[in-house]
Amino acid sequence: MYNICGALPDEALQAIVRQVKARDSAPAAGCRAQHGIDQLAAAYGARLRGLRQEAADSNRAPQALAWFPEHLSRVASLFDAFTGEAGATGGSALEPAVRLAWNALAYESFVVAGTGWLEEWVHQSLRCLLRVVEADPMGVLRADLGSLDDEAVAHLRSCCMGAGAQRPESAAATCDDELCRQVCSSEAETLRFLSGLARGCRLLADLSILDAARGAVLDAAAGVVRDAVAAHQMQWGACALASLAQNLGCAARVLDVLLANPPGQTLAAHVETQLYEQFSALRVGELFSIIVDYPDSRPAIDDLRDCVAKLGNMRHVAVSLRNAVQQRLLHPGATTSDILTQYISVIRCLRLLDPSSTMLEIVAQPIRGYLRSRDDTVSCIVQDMVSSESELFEDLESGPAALLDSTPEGIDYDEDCDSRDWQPLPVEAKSVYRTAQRRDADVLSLLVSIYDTRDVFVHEFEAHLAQRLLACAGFDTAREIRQVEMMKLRFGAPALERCEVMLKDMADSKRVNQGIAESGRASSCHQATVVSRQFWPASAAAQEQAVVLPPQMAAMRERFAAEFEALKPARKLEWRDAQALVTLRVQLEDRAIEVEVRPAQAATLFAFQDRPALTLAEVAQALECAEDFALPRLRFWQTRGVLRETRPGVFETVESEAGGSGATGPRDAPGGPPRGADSDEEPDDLGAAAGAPSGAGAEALRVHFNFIVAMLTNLGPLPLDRIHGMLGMFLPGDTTTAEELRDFLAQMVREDRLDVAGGLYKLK
Amino acid sequence: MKLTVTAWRDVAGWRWDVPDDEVCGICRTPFDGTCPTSKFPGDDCPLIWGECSHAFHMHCLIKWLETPSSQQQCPMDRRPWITAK
Repeated sequence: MYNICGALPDEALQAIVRQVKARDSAPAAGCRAQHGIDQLAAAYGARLRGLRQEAADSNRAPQALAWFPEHLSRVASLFDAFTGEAGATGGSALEPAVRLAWNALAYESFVVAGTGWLEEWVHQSLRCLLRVVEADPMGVLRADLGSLDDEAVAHLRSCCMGAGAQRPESAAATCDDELCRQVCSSEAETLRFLSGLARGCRLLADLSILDAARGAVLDAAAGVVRDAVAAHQMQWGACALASLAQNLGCAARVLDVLLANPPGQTLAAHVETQLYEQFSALRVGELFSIIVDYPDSRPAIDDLRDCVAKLGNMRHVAVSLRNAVQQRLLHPGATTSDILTQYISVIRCLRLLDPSSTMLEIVAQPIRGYLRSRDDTVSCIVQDMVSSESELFEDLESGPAALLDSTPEGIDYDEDCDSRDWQPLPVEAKSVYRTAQRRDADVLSLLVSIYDTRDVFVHEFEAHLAQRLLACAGFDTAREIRQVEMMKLRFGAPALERCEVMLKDMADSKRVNQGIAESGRASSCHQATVVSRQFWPASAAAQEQAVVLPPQMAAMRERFAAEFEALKPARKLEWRDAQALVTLRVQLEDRAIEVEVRPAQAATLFAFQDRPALTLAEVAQALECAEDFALPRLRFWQTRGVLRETRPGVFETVESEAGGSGATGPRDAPGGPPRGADSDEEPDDLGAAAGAPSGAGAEALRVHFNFIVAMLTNLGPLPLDRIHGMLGMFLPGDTTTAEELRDFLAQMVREDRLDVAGGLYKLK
Repeated sequence: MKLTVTAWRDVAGWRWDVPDDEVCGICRTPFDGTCPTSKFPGDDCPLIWGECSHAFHMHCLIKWLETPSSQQQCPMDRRPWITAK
């Protein structure tokens, strides 16, 4: 100001001074009157404070609903007196000044020194109103107030006023719920409540407190919304948002009408905003659990979608879900199949929430990365894919969906612009290309695209198929043929060629077996699957030491081989003991059991057919195998209660269980019911045990293990070839091969004595 | 004790009656596999033996004999190709 004055010319300054003086002197009379009003206001302020104090002393806050209009009416009479006296002092010319003074008083009384009564009253009113709307005993609120034309408003007002005449003091409704119940208990009660409400509102409007206390009203409304939303916590079975919005909106509009809120400042608008925000916050916090419950929680997803559409907080929802997923799912405690199941649900839910898949992109990224780091992801997906109850199988069944990486580069993103429901991608979509691709991909494609290559799935499927084909009885491959056909649709026929060869082998084997059976020259109980060595997965062809089969079994094979070689000249058969299954009937003196075993296990027992007791060495000699190989097979029969170990290394048959229950073998289970032929896993377990290093080499390595430990202690983590080289250097007589050593070290890792990472072995 | 085999689901791998590590001299894939033109091994992709005792995938050899430069000779020893009986 000083600077400006300095910049002005003298005449201009003089003019301003003259003007200011003139304005100060003119309304001298008004000024005196203003002074009178101020004094009056001070006096009334004191009386208002007295009223407030009285109310505070009587501690009526819980009964605000009934009591507040009373308080208001006393305030109103004060107001009347005040305006009367002020009018007498200053006349109508001073009316604006009187208003101003009163507003200041009201503001001080209701807001600054806020006792919370106004807020409490609005809160209780709105809650009761909400309850009335929900129950709607009159049918009038929803029907007429929904549209809110003048006529309906008049109707409501008359309803309220008419009933207000005989309104008695509401007695002892202390807590909110009780109040609400009372209000809804009968039509008369409802009308009485409405009339009280209308009276309070009219007084509030007349006293012009609302402008000053709007904040308190809005807070109270937000509180009601919060309570209403909280009641829907964990309730995902039904859509809640629409009815909440309708009821709350209706209740708020009633208050709007009664308070005569101007259109720009309606309570209804505020309540709606609050509702969406708070409801969204509730469901976003629960989203992870909602997805766990999917599809039972479908209504909750629909609600959330409405919220997201309204608030546009897609990114926030996605990020918060991503955090929840990282915290609750992507940890070592979750099994891979659980993670996959949840990932599939996440895909389906987020597709519902956001058809553009932008959210999915944000949430899926860490899940995909984590799944990639798990070893058994591929086998889990393949298992899921081919088990006919799963959702993935439906995807597989539903036919050819373009696989992500089979789409040529530069997918034509614009092509769907023609369709009417085209929507631009949200700004959150970082990579238009990938999102556009993923949008159209089905769940299975998304899972397959976790890996950069599809070969892993095809290989896993081959292994799975081989297992199933060898396990299926009677060469019935209809199911497998269908699976392969569906896989071809998805992964392309060239990738599945090996599987086709496998299926053809099955068909050929069936024919050969039928031919041989019809010729009558071979044993009817021996069926053989003849596989093409180059096309079946190598893992299934686990090397197993061949044993000498007993004559009757060997004869079966020979007959089959002879027939086969006659049918297919210039070809030879190589039997695969590790995959064959023999159903053996063991007839003992007092019992008979039927067991499905590997040929080597059968051969072990056949050794006892002629002589009831044999030593380990004799068994090994009969089978022409190592003792280490024979021993697990003997133990197998021991657990079945067929053999027992009388002395260390000496086994004999348990012809009758009653006589054999003495202090015999350590793992003998006399009296235990013999398990039937249905337990498929037994022979498999033993097959796995055979794969473990059990040969003489492994035993020798166990002796050297201390040496390896010392090596790793001194030199730190070492790769396999270094360890092998060191062993060769320091133990000249050692003939261990690198493979044996690797198997042995793997065994040590399994036994938790070593660690392997990145090809380096190190100590625990 | 009496043991009876009531059922036996056996598994065997077949192989051509040729030395173990040999591959077809023309396509260099294993005999038990397929030649480049066949999809299935075995009956669909048979072997053929010459009197010179060399064996090939039949499709491979036919293709070879069709080329003018073969002069109807065995690709391994350049003796006239005569299929073994």
